[in-house]
Amino acid sequence: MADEQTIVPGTATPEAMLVERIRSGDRSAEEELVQTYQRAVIAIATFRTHDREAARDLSQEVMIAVLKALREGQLREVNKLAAFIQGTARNLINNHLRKQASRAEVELAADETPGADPVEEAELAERRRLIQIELRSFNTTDQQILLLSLVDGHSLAVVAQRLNLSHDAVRARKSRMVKKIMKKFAPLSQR
Amino acid sequence: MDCRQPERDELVEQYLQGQMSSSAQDEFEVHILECSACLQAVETLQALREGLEQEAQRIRSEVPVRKGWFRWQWAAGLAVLLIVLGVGFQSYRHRRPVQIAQPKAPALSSPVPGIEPPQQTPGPSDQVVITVPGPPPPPKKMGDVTVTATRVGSEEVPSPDVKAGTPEITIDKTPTALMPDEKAVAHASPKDTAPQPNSATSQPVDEELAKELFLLGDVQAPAYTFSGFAATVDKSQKTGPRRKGTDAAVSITPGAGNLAQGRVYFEQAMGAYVDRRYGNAAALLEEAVQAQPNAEDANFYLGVCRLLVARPSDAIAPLTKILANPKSPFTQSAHFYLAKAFIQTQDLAQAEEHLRAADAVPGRLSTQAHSLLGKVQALRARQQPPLTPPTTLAPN
Repeated sequence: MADEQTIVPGTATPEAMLVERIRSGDRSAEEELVQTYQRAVIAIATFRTHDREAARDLSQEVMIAVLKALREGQLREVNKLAAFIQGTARNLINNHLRKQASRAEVELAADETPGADPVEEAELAERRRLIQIELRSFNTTDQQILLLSLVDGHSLAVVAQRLNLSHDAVRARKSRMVKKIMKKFAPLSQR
Repeated sequence: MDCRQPERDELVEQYLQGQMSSSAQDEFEVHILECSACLQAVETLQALREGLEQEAQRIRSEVPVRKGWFRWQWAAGLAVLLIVLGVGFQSYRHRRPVQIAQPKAPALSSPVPGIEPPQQTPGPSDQVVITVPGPPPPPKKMGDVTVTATRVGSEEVPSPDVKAGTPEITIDKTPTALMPDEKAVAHASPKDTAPQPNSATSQPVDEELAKELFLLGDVQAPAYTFSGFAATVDKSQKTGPRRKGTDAAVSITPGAGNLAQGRVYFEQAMGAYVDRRYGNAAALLEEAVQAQPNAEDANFYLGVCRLLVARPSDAIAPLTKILANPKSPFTQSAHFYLAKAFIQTQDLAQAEEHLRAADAVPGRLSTQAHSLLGKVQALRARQQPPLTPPTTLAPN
């Protein structure tokens, strides 16, 4: 069939092997897919909807839709799994934004759909809590620099103007704080 | 995609600020599905932003106290007192010169045998130096010119005719400035880079020009108030009540689905806009414009948001699109903000053209456009090289 790709042993990428395993009905492969990609889907949905709770629900929808498509062999280019997931996420998120929080009921039974790792979720929640504690340890000016730049979206020049600081000082302080937080809470990203 | 440090932090921030184009955003999202380091960076920065949003009210209301500084009220009072004393002392000194004995300095030994040691000259004992410490001004840079503003009177006794707005006495308006208010004002400056050391006491002419351009290119966010979510349509496609209280006039493209989607994005964008989250607003407005390419309000606010996040070049296209309809209620505003964009990109000819057009259209921006036009014309005149009068040869 034109929409099926023959996977040659020894040449397939891990993603292609995963897709093939899911297509053949391997439940552990489905769990592996969810464990591998759902966190990123949550991050994408959180950014696009600005609503963490909605993002969590949407990530479930996305993974269900992706699994359904993979089971039915709908992914034509097995080496573009990430792009397929991102496209699915984008479409479902746009639908959600359009319908404004009304989403279709999911027909699949709960035990048929692997969920996100609860340990990982707990770790993420704990990380958020610790980041907030770390944030409170910064002085007021530093917190204001972060608020104005990261939340309000102002340029460093505007932030410097508003806080009566030099541009250099704002840039250095912001960079120092972000690096500190990244180093402490996202050690992988420091590589 | 290059996601090594420090590019990664910058990419992540650009993504979360909504400063990427749609295609770049998609590409980055595909990347974080595959790169655990970048995913972790995104999650961390998202968590930081959420923490900041939760604490936003407290953070905005707190007044920062800098190390070694007095509170601004005391600093202002002290500065005024010192200026008055200094001026008084100066005028007294000029009437009665005072000899102040200097302690005898220790003899300097010459580092080289046979060479006279340097003469020690008395220091400037007859000059009162009052230094009111102040932060150096943020340097501004436009294009290839770096401007370093000099604070008048920062290291000498200020003369009585020092302007009241000297930065050392500037009151820190942080609490007020950070509190969201109805007329959300944001000042966007042209993109700036690393500053130069601030040691000059006079400014070259081109730096002065660049500084003026910077000030003229400053953008204030036009207020937006939600007043219903209706749109005016062409007579052939009536779909809803007329919107009141805003400049909205939307050209509806065929397809009710696109219309609804576009309006949803627009509403969300303007929610971010009134919260002064201009980066987020711009990203949502890009989606709105994708769904409704001819929506004048979406294009207008997209252009404005891009100006506010210091992307003047990207602001030109959406603002120009509005001019396709000469009867649009956004016409004057589009010309005005296009002029701002061209000032920021240092194209004064185009800026002047759009200010003339804005001035010619009756509207609430006429006065500002007229005033700005005069200033831009004056700047352009200064940029022109002076005409050299023909030399007259003396007769033999």
